Amino acid sequence: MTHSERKVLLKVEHLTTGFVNKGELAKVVDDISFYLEKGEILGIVGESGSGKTMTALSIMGLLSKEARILGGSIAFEDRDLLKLSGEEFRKLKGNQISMIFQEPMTSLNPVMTVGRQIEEMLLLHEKGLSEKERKERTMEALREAELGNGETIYTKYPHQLSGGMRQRVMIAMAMICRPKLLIADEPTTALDVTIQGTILNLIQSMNQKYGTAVILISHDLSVIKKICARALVMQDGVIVEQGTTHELFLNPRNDYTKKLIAAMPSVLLDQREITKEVEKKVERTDDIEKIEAITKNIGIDNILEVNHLNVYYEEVTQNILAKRRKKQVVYDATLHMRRGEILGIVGESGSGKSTIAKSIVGLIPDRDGAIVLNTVKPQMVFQDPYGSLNPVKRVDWILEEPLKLAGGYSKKERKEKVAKILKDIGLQEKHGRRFLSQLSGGQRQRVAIGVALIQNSKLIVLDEPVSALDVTVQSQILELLRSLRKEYDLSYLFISHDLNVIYLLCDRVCVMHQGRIVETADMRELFHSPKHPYTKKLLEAVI
Amino acid sequence: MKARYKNINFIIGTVIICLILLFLLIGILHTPFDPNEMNGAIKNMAPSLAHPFGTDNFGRDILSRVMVGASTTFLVAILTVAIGAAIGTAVGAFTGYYGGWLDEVIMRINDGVTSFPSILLALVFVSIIGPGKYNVIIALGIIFVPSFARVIRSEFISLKQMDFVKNAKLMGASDLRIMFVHILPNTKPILVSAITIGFNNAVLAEAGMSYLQLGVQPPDASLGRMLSEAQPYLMNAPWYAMAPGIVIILTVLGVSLVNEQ
Amino acid sequence: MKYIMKRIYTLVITLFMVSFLTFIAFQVIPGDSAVTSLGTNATEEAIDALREELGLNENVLVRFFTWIGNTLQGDFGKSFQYELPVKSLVGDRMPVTLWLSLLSIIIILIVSIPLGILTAKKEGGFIDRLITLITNTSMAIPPFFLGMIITLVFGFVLKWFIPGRYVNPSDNFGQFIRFMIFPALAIGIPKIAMVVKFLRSSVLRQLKQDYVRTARSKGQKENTILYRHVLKNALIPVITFIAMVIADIMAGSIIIEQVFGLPGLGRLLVTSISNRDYPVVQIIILYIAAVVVIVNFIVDILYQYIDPRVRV
Repeated sequence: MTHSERKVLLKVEHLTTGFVNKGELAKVVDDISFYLEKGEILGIVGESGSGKTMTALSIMGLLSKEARILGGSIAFEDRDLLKLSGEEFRKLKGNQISMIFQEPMTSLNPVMTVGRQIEEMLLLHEKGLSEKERKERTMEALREAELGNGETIYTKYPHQLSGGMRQRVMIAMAMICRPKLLIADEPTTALDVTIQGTILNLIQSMNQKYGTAVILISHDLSVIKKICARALVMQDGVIVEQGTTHELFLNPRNDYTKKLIAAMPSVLLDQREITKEVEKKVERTDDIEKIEAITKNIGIDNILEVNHLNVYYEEVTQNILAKRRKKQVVYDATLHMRRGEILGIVGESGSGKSTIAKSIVGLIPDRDGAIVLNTVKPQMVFQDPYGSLNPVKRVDWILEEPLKLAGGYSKKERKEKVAKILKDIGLQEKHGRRFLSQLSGGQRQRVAIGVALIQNSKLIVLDEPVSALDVTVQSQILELLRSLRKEYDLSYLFISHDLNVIYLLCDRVCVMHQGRIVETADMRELFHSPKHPYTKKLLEAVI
Repeated sequence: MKARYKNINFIIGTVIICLILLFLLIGILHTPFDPNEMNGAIKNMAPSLAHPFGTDNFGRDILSRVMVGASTTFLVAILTVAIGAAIGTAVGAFTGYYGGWLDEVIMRINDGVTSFPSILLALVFVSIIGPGKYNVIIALGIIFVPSFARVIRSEFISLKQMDFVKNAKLMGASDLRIMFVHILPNTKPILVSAITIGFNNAVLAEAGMSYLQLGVQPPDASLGRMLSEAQPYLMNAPWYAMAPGIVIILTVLGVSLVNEQ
Repeated sequence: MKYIMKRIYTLVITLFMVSFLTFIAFQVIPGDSAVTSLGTNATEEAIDALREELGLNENVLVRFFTWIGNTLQGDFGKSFQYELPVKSLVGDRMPVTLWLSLLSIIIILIVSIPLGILTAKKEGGFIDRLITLITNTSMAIPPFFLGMIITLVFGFVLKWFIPGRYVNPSDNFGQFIRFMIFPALAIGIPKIAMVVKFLRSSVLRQLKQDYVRTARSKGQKENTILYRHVLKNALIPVITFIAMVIADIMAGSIIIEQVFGLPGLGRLLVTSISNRDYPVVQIIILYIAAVVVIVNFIVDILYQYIDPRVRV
């Protein structure tokens, strides 16, 4: 099929959306134009705050009260959506254009069965159906979304389903009227890696079966790459680059696009031609050299040894008198870390990886097995820098507190040390006087690292330290970690669900699945010749 | 628009509170007449220049009595909240932080107590320890403990799971330091709000108790007491009831407007 | 069903604990109820005889079980003050308080739920601001002062009812209700304000939830979203709140009966406290406590049916 034969379904021109606050204008989407052909899957990629979700909500007419469309047009087939009356637009929503969201839990009404929520679509848009026909159609939609025979799911409430199932319900609901356009806003972000793929496959099969065009919004390039024919890259409210996905990966023109691509390890590993090209273009050889240089400095003695570790949690019971049951979350974990090494632990949520981390620093008393540390109190950096630092204190108070607790420092010495650490973590003196709410996510995570650093520990456990951050900030933090490692002779135990990040930083990796370490290998070896089936599954999900 | 509207509420609330405080302060330093001086010649007089709020059935100046009565009511309310907040915060902090069976037992009792109307509990207390200003303070203070404990406990339970508490543990901070230096300042907004709500409840509870003549006893004047004395004269001297009533309303309204912020 | 059985089991235990506490509370009172009853001028022998008669020489636990046993059999003891069985004293006054509470609850529910929804719907608009102002102000009014204002306005000025008069329900039920409306309003108005405010913020909170956005994306009408999706979610927390309000109404009636001169339990309680008539006080406190506990029990059960997330 040639280009001209295809018909444009959606045409967005000069769309500008923003907030008006106290007479001041804050544009979130700034004069963007793009089109979507019938039956096409278009990706929109960008970091948080890039305006991608606002674009979707503008098309869908779902902007909050405070936000408004300041200019442009959105043509769906031949009608300008912005000029439709509320009533006319309402008839299109759900019927011709539908949407699925990031959080399938909160996006469903918690007190209504999923069957009734799906049927609501039919009640709205296909009025002639009898009750029996509606039920049948709903069952069919559930089956189509691969939710068993539909019967059991029909009467369930959202909280009784898993995250993946909820997103399937959302898809069944969005697709039941066979819309011409489906907008999927980060549909896999809240889900585990291995489930992400199946949801994307489902969206793709719906697209092929019914010719529904899809706008897939994601911060994750690998998601876009998997099913999108074409993609837009958004940054700060503007489209910085657009083209076919193939082209975009092969020949990124924009710096920002290059940066995003550089953060994908699959690019380096993929043996196909396309990525080799990219490898040449994206200048990341220096990173590799750096890693290799440090790897040579790994010592021969172990800074940490964990032998046959089992960890339990007490189950919470309502009855005070009932005997508490223990639930085992880590089974027979054995690992060691050499001095100066960066050991990664990768796994999905609930795999027990954070539990191991917390046991090592001594936050979980209920365990057996041996943990041998050849260093003074290991420190920990947590995922969410909002939660891991006291929000009512100033940065310098937070950095000084461990020194006060350790004792032996005069007030002047403490101040000097705080000033030094602030500099080391890449912040300025003025940041010390600030509260956390006045810092960005990346700056906050720097402070968290500083707190760990100031206590002179040689082993730092990092639990998803960059997961809450945008890709570009992630790489800055990883860079900081690398340089601190060299300067302070540190060893890191690095926990992440994200193989990309693990790849960029770690020397060796342990893969965890359902409380067990299923594979431990040198990083490169793991990526090139994974042994355990679960590792293979994880790798498939990212590449 | 909404922010401005809220702001107006805050300003109105602040103005009301300042006026009430000024009124109190003047009352403490100086009252126009002796609040207890009786004068048979001017019984139940309507408001006039000499007696802006009128006089009561004994010919006492109502303005002066409201000034004194308000300060009693405020004293009771402030001390009550102080007792409730201090003990409640400590109980809430320990039970929330440590959990365990003691926490369960204390909280079951707490739940039981808070599900009962405080005025009823206060009546039980007073029927046991007798009426009077200080007994009312003790009774209401103790009755307010569970509500503070409950709020602080739930804050502590959610805050203790935050990573900054784990971080503090890793630094080697003691439990007491974690509780009172790290966690407690984070509860400030909730605590302040609980204190203002508690203050309002205390004002209303004191007024109710004194109105039933089971609270502050003569010769102490209190706003609730004055209202109960005014009731028989509601038809002939309605101003008698209005003055103390309006002071209570303004106080409670002012505090709640500011609290909403 | 299993859950309900479990709840009934806890209900019985709670009621037992409450009665025990009520009983114990009145055992720590300084002074001897025999002395209180007979006055300080009574002879030693008379006091001793009465102590024997009242069983005051027994162990506390024995006395508690005697008391609770008698109470369960409907023997509430004798009032010191009136020299009458407590049962007939309480029985006479119970209907007044019961009707007063019931009327207040009805008034509160029929006024506050539509108002709460209306204010949330018109958030930020003139009606919302007006109602919010009124609710804020009426929450600041002590109920008994509101009762006095109602007496003054509707009784003395408009003469819609005669303050201080009371019609027996058995004599003329219609008139009885007419007189009860005004005290019920005095109890209800501040509570209406509380429920409106709570419901308003609950609806507004729900309107910000993601599932509302989903419903909009389906093309659902705003009004239908409000009634079909939001309301049930918004009412769930309100149910607990209303249970609290019911407990408050019981307390409110104690004071309001005083204002309007109604011969209900509240007035009996206040005079009994003043006269240290403990058998009466005990029974009334126990009665109110039982109502509170049972209302909470009902709310718990109701939750099971309304909120699928807590259904067991």
